Amino acid sequence: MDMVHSFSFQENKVTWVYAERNNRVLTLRRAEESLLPVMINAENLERTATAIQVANHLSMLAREYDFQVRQGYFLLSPKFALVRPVALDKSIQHPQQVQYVRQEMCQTLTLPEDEYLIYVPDYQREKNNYLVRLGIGLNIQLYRFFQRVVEETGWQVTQLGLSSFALETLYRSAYPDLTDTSLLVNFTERGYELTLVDEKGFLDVFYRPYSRSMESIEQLEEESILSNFDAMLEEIQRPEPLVQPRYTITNILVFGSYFRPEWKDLLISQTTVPVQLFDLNKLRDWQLVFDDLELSQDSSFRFIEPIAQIIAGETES
Amino acid sequence: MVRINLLEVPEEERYKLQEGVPASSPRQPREGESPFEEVDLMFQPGGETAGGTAETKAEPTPSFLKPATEAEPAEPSVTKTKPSRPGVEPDAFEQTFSRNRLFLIVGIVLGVLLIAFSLYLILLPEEEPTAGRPVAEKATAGAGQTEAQATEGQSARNLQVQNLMAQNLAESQFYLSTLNKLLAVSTSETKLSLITMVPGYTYFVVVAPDRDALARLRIALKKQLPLLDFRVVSIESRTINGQPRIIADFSVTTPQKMQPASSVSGTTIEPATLPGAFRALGKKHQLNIRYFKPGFKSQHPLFQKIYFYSEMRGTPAQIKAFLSELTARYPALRIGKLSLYPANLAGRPRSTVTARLTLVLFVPKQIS
Repeated sequence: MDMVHSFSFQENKVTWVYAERNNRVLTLRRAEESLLPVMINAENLERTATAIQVANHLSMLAREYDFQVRQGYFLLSPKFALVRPVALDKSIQHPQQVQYVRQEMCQTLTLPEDEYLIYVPDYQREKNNYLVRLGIGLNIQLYRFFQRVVEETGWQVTQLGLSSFALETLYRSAYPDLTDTSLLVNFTERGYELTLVDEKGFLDVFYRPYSRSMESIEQLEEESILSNFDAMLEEIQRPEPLVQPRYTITNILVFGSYFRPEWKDLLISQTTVPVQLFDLNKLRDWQLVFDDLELSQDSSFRFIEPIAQIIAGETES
Repeated sequence: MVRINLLEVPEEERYKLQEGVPASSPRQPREGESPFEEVDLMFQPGGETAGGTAETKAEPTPSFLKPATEAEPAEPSVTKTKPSRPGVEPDAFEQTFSRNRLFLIVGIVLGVLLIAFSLYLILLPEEEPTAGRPVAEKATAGAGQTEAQATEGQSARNLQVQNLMAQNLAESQFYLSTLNKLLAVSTSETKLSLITMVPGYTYFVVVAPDRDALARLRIALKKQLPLLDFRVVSIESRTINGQPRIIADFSVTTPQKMQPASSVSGTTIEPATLPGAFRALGKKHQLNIRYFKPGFKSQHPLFQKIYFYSEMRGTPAQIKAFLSELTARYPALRIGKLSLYPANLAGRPRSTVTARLTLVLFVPKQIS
């Protein structure tokens, strides 16, 4: 049995799940959402104080709930990193593959290469007779920021991951029967975080704001949030210069702390692709016990990301 | 499943965390310096600001700061210091201050001495141009032997660098010759819409009116490049500008290594001067260079590899001539990847195309 604290960071808030993990029985003791005292953005990252402010905020929450974080997972929104699938010819040898992925990543970076940590995980897919590998670019300032947060809190944080990969693991545990391509839609404050997966695993990740001016979901009309949903789906499946569809999405699963359950029916009326709420009841290999009065099966869609990381952490270990 | 823990920084990326600290990034605390030093006191946790504390936090080293391969047991993150008696002032602030000041002064003095010494070394040969010879004559037999070994090492290195340049030249010549032959087989009925060349592999897309035309093109390719094995990866029918067309993807495996060129001429070039030279040569060949930017660097015992990425527009003939002159003039450059594609699939052979080029510059290391 182990106690795990999983923190999912967006630029303005943290979602925290404290759970007990015991032989594939996950007892969710507490789930909290809290706005951060400062936004995690490029401007604030330049200030050393930002990490300390965030760390103090987390420490304060821990004191309030009487938590001692001995095993923590930090999960970042995919907005915090650049994830790029890179198609390579199969004849390219393994060491060269990594080199080419790194080169391709360098082409897309917006800042000098020295300001990023580039990861090429052990991921291989095949598409149209090509080998697809992943390149992940993480801004060094951001890495140092989270490093500093961990230092200041004094917690034992053993994993720093991107939510897309944890979501993919959770998806395959919960929906092993779904075939073809599924889109996991996370409703965040200013836009959709979209993870594209299929029965074999991760495919791609996107971020699409709700409006051009990146307004908060709270400032937007419900209609304007949902009206562009179908157009967004079309744009992902068939990006501009391509004639043939790049992806064919057959299932959509929605969740997120800004999602409202009544939107599900509205979304179903918007698109021909089946839409369903990400349902943790579907988990086959795991039994979930809700021990927090505020948290139930019905409201668990708000905490999908941190729960996904706990399950992914166990699956990987 | 994508298994990645971003705390486990790849080996080749660690140097960025150790050395390449961007100017704008928060400064990392130095040894013996509290991480709080440059932060407003208002952000300090209340429990840690109490005077006369028995424990001070010293350079915390949480698990993720250590490389994944590190085998030593973790150092304790908290070190004990002498507890101060209640009512007695802790170590005087002035003492710490004057110690810091002393370190600063010593640092400045050492820095000035280092600069002066460097200047002396730089200026010495200019002031005494003939000084090298008499010193060499006075050298002992042992020193002479060391010098001979160094010269031998130097010539071995020079030979390796020469071989590398010859290899670069051979690869560039192979690319350009293959490109030439591929473009030559493009007829009025079949058009090449994309050519991508990387070491060991060439990929191109052909637009043809029907399968017969495609078969004729394949025969022509076999005649032009008999040693290469052309494979059709995919074929699809599409309507382009109202006309039915067949689009075929070809892939060709090319040799990974070439026989080095027999002779190498040309000049060496510094990374800083390459962008200017590249653009000037592009202008000479009437190319529109959209960008030319440096990228990934890697270190090897003999040389440093620097990748450069470029995009340009021009006719295929202009691009070929440009690349031919560039690689012949600078054999330290190797073509890493070359892609040519027209603005649309119906482009004519002489119309302008876009080329994306990855160049690798080999910078030989100086013997210290």
